[in-house]
Amino acid sequence: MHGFINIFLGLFALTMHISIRRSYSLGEGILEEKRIDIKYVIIAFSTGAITIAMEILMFRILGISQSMSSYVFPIVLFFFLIGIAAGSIVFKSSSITEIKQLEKRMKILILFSLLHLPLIFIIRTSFMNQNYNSSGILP
Amino acid sequence: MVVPFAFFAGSILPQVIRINSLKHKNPVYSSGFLYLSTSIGSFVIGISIPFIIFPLVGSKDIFYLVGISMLFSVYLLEEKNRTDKSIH
Repeated sequence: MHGFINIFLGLFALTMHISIRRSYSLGEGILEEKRIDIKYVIIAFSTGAITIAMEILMFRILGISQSMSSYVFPIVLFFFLIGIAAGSIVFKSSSITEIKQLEKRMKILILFSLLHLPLIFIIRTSFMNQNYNSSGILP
Repeated sequence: MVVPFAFFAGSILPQVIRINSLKHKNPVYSSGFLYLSTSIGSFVIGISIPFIIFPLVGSKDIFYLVGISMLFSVYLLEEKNRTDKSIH
């Protein structure tokens, strides 16, 4: 439902933009804009995909270990949203005006988040083994 | 255990938005487009993971997919810097 609302809002904004652009091209003004670099679009796409993928994965891991309790989803969502909000606040980078510096920082941030994958993988394996030993069912 | 990952993953999009606001004279359009692409990414993966990826590859290989896509993002940024250097 959340995804549908986001897609709907994005399409609505795009439609509004196209109508404004059309009115500008009719002679009411000049709208200057450059094309968006496709690399940034891919990075933004993969950021959203990665976040949701890890959220679903954590929900599955904790759901298996906690026998799909109704508390699992709110707990995972709470911690994910806390993390995303904190990251957005800490690295808002309003003072940096150089693009190269921002790109360098972005690379470091991606590599830092990549470093946490093995940790989550180890925890997943321990959860899975624990569940296998206790129930005899491999998830 | 998920907070550090979400912390660093959540800090990537503000950097992208900031870069685009510096590059474009009309940052509203580019920011909206980037948010739209993030939402589409979340939507597509959110739908495809439980119905396609889990039955096909399992939860273990999602870690590899996530890692590969992150390394690809770093490669894209690095490639851009390399082309910039070759131009100058």
